Amino acid sequence: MSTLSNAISGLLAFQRALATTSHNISNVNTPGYTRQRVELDTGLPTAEGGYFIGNGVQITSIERLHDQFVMNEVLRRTTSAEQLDMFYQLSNQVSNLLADPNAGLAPAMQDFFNAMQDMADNPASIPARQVVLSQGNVLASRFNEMNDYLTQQRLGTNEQLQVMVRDINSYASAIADINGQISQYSGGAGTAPNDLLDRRDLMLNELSKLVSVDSMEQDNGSINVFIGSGQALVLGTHASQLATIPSEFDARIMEVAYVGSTTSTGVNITSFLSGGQMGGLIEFRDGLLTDTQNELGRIALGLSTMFNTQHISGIDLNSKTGENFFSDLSTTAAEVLPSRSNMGTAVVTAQIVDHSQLSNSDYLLQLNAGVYTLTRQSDSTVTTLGTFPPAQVVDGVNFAISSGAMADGDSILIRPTGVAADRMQVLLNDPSMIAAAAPMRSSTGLSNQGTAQISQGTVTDITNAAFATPGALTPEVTIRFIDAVTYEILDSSSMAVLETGIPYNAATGSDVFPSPGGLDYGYSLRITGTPVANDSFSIEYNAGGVGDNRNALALEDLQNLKQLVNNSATFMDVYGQLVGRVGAETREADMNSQTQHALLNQAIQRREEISGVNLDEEAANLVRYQQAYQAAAQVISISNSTFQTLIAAVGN
Amino acid sequence: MRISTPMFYKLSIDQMQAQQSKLSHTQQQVASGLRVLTPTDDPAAATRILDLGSEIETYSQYMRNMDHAESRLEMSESAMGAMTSHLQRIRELAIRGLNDSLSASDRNAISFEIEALMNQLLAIANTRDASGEFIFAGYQSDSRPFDHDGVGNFTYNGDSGERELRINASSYLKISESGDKVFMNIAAAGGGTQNMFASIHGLVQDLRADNPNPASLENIDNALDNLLTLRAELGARLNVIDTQRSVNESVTLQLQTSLSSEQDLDYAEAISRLNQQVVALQASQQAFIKVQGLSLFNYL
Repeated sequence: MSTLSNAISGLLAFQRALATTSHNISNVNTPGYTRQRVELDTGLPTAEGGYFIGNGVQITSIERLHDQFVMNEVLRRTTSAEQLDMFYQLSNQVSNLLADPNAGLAPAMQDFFNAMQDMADNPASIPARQVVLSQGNVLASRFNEMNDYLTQQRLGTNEQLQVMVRDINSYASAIADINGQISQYSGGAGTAPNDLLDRRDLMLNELSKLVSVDSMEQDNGSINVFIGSGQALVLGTHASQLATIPSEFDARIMEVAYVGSTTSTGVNITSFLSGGQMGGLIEFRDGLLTDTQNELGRIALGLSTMFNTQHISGIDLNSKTGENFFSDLSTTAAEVLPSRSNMGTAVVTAQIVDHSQLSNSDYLLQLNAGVYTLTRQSDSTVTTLGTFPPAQVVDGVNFAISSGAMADGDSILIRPTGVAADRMQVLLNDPSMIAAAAPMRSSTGLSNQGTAQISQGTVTDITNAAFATPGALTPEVTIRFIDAVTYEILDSSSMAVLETGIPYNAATGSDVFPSPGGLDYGYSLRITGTPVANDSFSIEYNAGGVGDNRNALALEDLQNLKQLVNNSATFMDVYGQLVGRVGAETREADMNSQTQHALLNQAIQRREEISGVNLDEEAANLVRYQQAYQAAAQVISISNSTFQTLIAAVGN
Repeated sequence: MRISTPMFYKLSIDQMQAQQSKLSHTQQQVASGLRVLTPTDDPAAATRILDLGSEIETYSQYMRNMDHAESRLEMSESAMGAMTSHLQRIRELAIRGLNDSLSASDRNAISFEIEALMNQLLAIANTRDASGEFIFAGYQSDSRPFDHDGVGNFTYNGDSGERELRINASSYLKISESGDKVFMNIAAAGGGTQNMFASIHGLVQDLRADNPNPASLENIDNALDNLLTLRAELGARLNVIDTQRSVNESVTLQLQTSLSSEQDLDYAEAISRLNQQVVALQASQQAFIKVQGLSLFNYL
């Protein structure tokens, strides 16, 4: 009886529909769930004489309401947003450290130079000198600590990468598994189980959070996932692995490798990876973090070199020539990292010879087809090295092969300032050894009758032979005026004439050295005023000059000298530029992240619009299908009663 | 446009979180009084704040330098003031001693007073400052500059060094006078140079020998003139400190004003913003409560 069978078809169909609706309701909060809808269609009608009689309802399919285009948009935005979030989070920490008013570098530098000025006020005072040493130690420690923090960040990325790689591998395996299950089902009935598809989409979404991937659907329902520059992460039911390997140049830093099925150690694909948390992490580590560490190193190097150069031009409380105040970083600051695949035996050194030309970049030294090239990593400028080997100076660094030789195809990464901030240290620990005084002083003759005066002088070249003998000036000279407009220079001990007939103009004064005859003892002085015949001035070694603060004044003036970055900036300038640069990059990441999140939210909203469960709608559907079910059940009841009527009619 | 149930919650929660985050940022600003909490808030301002802070610190160091300079100069000033009055007394006594009407015993008596004053002058020449440095010794400030062998030979052990201090970005100020300039290299009567002590010692001996030399008076006058010139110059330097101090103070004020405008919060704006954001958050929370209870299931 078609009534009964129609009613039964309705019952079954509405049962399924109610089941699907309840499935939707139960999964309203399941992440990645795509709502399902029962598609109903009439059964094929039966021909009966001149008319067709209907055959009830059948379920054609349970549709998964899904838009792949929208889904791809969500994946793409997720990748971008996660990358920017990761970069922002990491760079914000660095930015805050740099600008911290207490823990940053600026207050430590300021305190050190203030201590220098306090010592210049009172050069013979041991307590004032002790403060200079303490503040110097604080400054060096501050450099060390900041560098340490950055190194910890760098090493910390290793662990994070390992976790990410592990997660990527597990998602890839999961996707491959599901691919297998889906192709089993798809091959047969036509449509794949919706829940499996949801699960696979969820895995893809999690994967996209970690790294940028491309996916392509195959005919048998499985998807292939590609990573980096086209390496296949998932091909059907086969999942390849990623692994972390030590980087080519620095075994302490991990990079990401693609392990295909046949190669055992894998191919380094780090430079091809972008997007997602992994992309953000790598971008931070190889970009902003390296830049900051190098820049700190450049400041440390500049400061200690300039300070030492001035310090050794003075004499200390014991009238001895100053020694290096800070450790000499020119030979110890550079890190030389040969590639692990090098065949050559070259030992390369990098010595800083001119801090004003120093950049804040790493350099890659390569030998290819007999040509040595040096590539500056910050802007990829390539310099062909003509006089290399043995050595050539580029950007203030003397690159040299000290022993062995490079083989063709070798490459070596050199970081001239990378670890300078770590190696910065105060060498002096005796406050009396701070060289606050200048090595020479000038005296006015006690029987001078003219009004001429002589300046105390400043050192121009501490390597001059006059300073060669420690504790003495060789020679000590006397300047004697023959008359008001001519003077001569004599050796003070023997009174031998070294040069005579030197003209003097009272209106302009005179810079005595270098003299017209070429005498130069490594210092400059000035005579002004009006002398008379036989007036004399003598220049002698500043023995016992404990109250002299000339070198201390010169040392404290270093903070105003623009000697870094091609003589355009002081240390504080370079630091300020670093803070600004890092702050700007962080802010840019923040702004872009907000934009990407807004776009991501829009994409998610569109997805939800199509695929999300609305409880009110499902409630209405429940009512609808329930009513229909009740109606169909009622039809069965009616069909039963018509049958009963029939039986009763033919019975006795 | 269709809103799924989870989407509805997500939108509401996202909104509330965004508002909470803005509110929290404003609250931190109000609590700390700073507009720029981290460099990310305003990187260009962060750099300027760093620079300004550093400048202000530098200027306060200049002030410290000037305080030190002032105390040194005042010490020199008072030493030279005492010397001037001693020398003037010696001058009076010299004039009396040179008077022909005096007897040998009178002259003898005067000589003792002059000798005592000379010794006081010697003591002043060997003055030490609070940290124990000899102020008239040139660079060799830990060794006593003036020695007397008892019989009229005075040696100057110091040198011509004079210490300078930095008082602003482009200039230094001299804060000491070398002993030779003050006491030694003074014009002598009849040409040549003399030192103050030797001349006075000579006068004492001459008075005791009843044969004072009028040239002594001229020598003393020259010594006084020298002292006066040096004192005037010192006074000028003290004035420079005063002027520079007020210049530094006004520069510091300007710098602090700039720093404040970069860094400090405009409380009026921030608090009204805070109130606005509190209201917005409350509104979104209440809206959420009102709407989230609406469900068809309530009526089934």
